Amino acid sequence: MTNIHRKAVFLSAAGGRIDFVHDESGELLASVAIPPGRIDAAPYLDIEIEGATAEIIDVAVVNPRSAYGAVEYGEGSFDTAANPEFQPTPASALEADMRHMMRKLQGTEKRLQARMAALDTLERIPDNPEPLIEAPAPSPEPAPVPSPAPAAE
Amino acid sequence: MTSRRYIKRVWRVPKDRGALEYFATLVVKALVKHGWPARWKPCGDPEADGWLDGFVIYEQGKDTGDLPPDFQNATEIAVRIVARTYRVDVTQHYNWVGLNRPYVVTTSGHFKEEK
Repeated sequence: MTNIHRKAVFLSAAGGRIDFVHDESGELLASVAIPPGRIDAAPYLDIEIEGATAEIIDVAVVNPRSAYGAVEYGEGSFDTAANPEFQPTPASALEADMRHMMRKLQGTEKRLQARMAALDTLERIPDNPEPLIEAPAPSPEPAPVPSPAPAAE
Repeated sequence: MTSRRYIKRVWRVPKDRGALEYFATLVVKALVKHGWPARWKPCGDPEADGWLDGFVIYEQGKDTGDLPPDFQNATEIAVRIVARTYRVDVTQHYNWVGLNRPYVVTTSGHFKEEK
């Protein structure tokens, strides 16, 4: 009787009974009559006899319907509205390529412009308009010392 | 003669002769690279006069006087660039340039302030 819901009902036309049978000896300990009609099961579930199993006889047990349920959307609910036979034409692929390239070019141009602007802000040493043709610049490093000549004494 | 290779070959920058010579050579090298006939020579005795350690930039083959205006402009820009690059505190007055603080040139070629 443990698997009967608290809100279940007993249905019968002629009434029935609940027998409490002892588990070990099989002796009938008690028998509770159920009147005919639609009878709530809750008061009968309260009866408990230790060491005995309840057997419901001549009565249908109707459990309440579950409170949860799934509502189906019906046939074709998940079908797409798009044309299943559509195939992109090569023209549209070309157009996408072209757009992609244009975007890349624009990004490159913008980056170049930013770099040029940054370069313009740099301070530079102006070049001499008349640079020396010959620049005999002395090296700050000492010239390699030639091997000492034999001392003439 | 103003090629990059020439600049690299001839204008070796000495790291072992003090910060003033190092700085002066850097400035003069930058000027020569841009075609200016620049030379430098140390100026003033900092211990005797109480001045800063400084040098004078002059035109090659001429006396140490005022530079032509375009040369002077290039010199100022070169000094500013080198000072900013190496984070050196310098003072410039016309063609005279002096270091405001005592520096040491490290082996890696950086200026390090002497404490």
